[in-house]
Amino acid sequence: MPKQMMTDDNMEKLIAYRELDSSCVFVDDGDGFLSLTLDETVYRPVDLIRLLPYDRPDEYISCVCKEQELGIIRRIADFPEEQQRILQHQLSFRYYTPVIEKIISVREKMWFVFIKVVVDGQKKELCTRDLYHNIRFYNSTDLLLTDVDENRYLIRNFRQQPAKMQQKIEIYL
Amino acid sequence: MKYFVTLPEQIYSFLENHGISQQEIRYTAKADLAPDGGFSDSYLALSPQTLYLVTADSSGSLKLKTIPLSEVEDIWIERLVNTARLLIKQNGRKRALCRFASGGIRIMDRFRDRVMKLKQQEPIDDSRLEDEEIRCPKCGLPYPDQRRKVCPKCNGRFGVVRRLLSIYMEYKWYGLAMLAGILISTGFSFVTPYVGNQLLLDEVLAAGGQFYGQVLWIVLLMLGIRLFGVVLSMAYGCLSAHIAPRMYRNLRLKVFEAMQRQSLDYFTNRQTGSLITRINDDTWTIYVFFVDMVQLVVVNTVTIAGLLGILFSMQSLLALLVTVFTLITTMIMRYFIGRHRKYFKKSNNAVRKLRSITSDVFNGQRVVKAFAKENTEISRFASANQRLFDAEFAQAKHSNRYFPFVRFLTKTGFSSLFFIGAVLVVSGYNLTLGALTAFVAYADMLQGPVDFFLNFSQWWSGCVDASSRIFEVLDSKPKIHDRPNAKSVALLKGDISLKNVSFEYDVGRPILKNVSFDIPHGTMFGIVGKTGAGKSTIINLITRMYDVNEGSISIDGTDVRELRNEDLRRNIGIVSQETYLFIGTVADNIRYGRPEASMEDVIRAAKAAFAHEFIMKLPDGYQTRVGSGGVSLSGGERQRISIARAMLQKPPILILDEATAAMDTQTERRIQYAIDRLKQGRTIIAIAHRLSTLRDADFIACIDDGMLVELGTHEELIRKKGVYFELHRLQTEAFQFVEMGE
Ligand SMILES: Nc1ncnc2c1ncn2[C@@H]1O[C@H](COP(=O)(O)OP(=O)(O)O)[C@@H](O)[C@H]1O
Ligand SMILES: [Mg+2]
Repeated sequence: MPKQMMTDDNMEKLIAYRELDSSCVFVDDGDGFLSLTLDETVYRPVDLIRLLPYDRPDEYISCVCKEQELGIIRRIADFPEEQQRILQHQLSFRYYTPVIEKIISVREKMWFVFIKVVVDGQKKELCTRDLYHNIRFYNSTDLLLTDVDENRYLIRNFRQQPAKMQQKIEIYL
Repeated sequence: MKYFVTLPEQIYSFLENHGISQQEIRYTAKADLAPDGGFSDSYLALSPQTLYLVTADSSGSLKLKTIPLSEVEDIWIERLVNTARLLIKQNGRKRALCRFASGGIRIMDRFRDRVMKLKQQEPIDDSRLEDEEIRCPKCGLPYPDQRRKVCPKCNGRFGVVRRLLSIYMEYKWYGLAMLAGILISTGFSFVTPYVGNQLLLDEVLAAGGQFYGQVLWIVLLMLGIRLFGVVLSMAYGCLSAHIAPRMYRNLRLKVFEAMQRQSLDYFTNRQTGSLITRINDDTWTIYVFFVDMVQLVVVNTVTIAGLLGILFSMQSLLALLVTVFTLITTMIMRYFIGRHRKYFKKSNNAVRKLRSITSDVFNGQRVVKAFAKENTEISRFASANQRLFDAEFAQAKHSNRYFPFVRFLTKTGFSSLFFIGAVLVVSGYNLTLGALTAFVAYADMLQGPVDFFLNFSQWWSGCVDASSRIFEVLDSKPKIHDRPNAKSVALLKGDISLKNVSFEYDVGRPILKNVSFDIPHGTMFGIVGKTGAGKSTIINLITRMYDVNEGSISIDGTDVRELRNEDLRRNIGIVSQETYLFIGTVADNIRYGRPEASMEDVIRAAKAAFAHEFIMKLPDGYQTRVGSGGVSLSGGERQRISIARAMLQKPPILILDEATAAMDTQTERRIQYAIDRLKQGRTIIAIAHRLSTLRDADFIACIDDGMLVELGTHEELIRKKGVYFELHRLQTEAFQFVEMGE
């Protein structure tokens, strides 16, 4: 059980900023699992973590295996096309956030706000509390809405949405 | 009753077609996402031997997957970013069973637990599920927020009104007296136009009138009426001065009390700013409602009814005109006010943002100064300030554009009323000049109450907002509360025992995993481990700031959940990582747990904690004011005061959670000495990073990643050459290094 103690070499590895280049190879193991061959070692499962999920979704991706960072992908676009496809697929799976396409109605009831929406093609009624805190722009164009269960939803390009829809939540922004 | 979700009939019949009867199924769960994104429901059902998964493919036809529990090696939840998956290890292979939005983790975790328990044929305790009823008992609908058990539907507007009025009823005699006063003065206001117009013009000034020429009398009469009105309003003012502050005081206290009763997590999950708002602003809103609104609603209703009665009895044609006209202008006003509300909300919101920036910057002033960022902060403030300006400007623009227009409409209406009336007077249509002027005066009096009701909806919704926030506080049940038959123990002995304790703050992120150990009373028990290992969490559980998820913690053989909280906490003294000093003197702070302690005891405790020496040097000694706004003390000094606080309390169980972390080695050694003396007959739990602090501990537990990895005496652990040994080696090396360097 005792974990391997920190040698200086280990320490160096831990604090080093390592960029992964296209010499490493990602393989989609299916079922949402990913493996990575790096320095002739195969790591699995590998998790991809966006370090700047909102501003740079396709850059600064940390690759983690068993709580150890193996390295950081500076830019997905620098990888071969097939690898890009695997990475993007994995990221979109991991970061899947339902998108609100339409807001049907917003009703305030006590300290709750019930919002009827069409999200990913399905009608749903969301419930949030204190909309002022739970709806906000996370970048200059997109809104993020968090409901009472801490599910998160996206509204893409809010300013380009129909005026009617904008009006419904405008006052909470 | 079946846990955890009700499956649709269609799923049950599908299962039955596959030979699985409803009776077999013990637990159910639902996943709301397709394996690769998008919403799509799939269902899980669990019988004592088998796990069933029903999914729908894109065409909507159902598919059944059957997994015998004997093949399940492990089942766990993987948290992704906004979603999670249920994973299973079956026949040595890992795979995903289903995928769901994060909101479903809580229930899925229970389900997962039941899968493992059924497989291992462990006993399952579902009794606790009953008291976390997830549906409103009144309407049967699930609470929108499962963690806060309040139902917005049953607590809707009418519920709020009812409850507000019930608070009001506590003061009903005052209230009634106030109402009576206000009604009488309203009645009187009805007389004024009659006397001042009709009586004066038609009977006193007009030749042939009943009191023709008696000008003095009519003046005296008018004066008398005015005077009486003044007396009435003074009486009313006195009454309301008597009752209103009282209500305000009681309400504030009630809210504060309700908040104080909440468990710790209530405060850690919320911004303190919003809690303070509730105590101040929200109770104020409600107070205004009581003091003004209730009376005004009654008065204005009576006024409108009375005025309409008078108008119709004077001249029904004109009265009808007035009514129709008032209705039309009201509609127009309503429309504008509705639009105005939007601006109002927006500027409210901007005020809030500005406030939060201000408090943020003031609290972080030290950092601002250290990085010389004053100008950045000024511009941050300026931009929020600008946003507030924009909102207020828009609001003012809107109101200045529309409201004068509406007012103009009203005034024009009245002029035309006067015109029509004049025509009626001239054509000799049963209307005297005096009656007409009185009529117009009465009609004008309508405007006030009508305006009141126009603005009322806005006031009202503000009040409902405020009171619903307040009732939310009053209604929410603290998570940690005394059981009805909780045991009362004056003095605990201090035998602590943890049995298979597992705990998580957030579902799916286990912090403690199956931790067991015993601490016999009168011993010193050390806990070591990395930052974030879960050491403080163990303390949180022993002191019952949170309840364990699994296993149990008992003191002197009684489960802490069966003890009265007050007794438990009184018997435990804690010096924690976060030392907080309240506003008050140093002595007050030391005495916090035992206010009746004598000054000698305070000094003795301070000396034991080696706080005495620096307290002496403070300008006002033990009377120096500390806490926010007072003298600021260093981290080590604050820790010493809180150690003195705990020592003064002389609890049977003393917990030191990195209590000496901010001190230099020398002070730490002295405090250790003091603690050592305190050990007699006391259980001491000490968490420390510096192992030298724990040299005297009878047992030392190593916690790593929420698990107990080693337990024994210092010597035993050194001999074992495990985690503790390595830590020890590293620290002694480091110390040699430091000493060499010095
Ligand atoms: N109130 C809380 N809510 C959620 N997570 C918490 C809370 N308090 C602590 N944690 C998490 O629990 C883990 C253990 O914390 P703690 O017991 O304070 O560690 P330590 O061993 O350093 O005292 C940490 O990962 C911490 O982030
Ligand atoms: Mg800690």
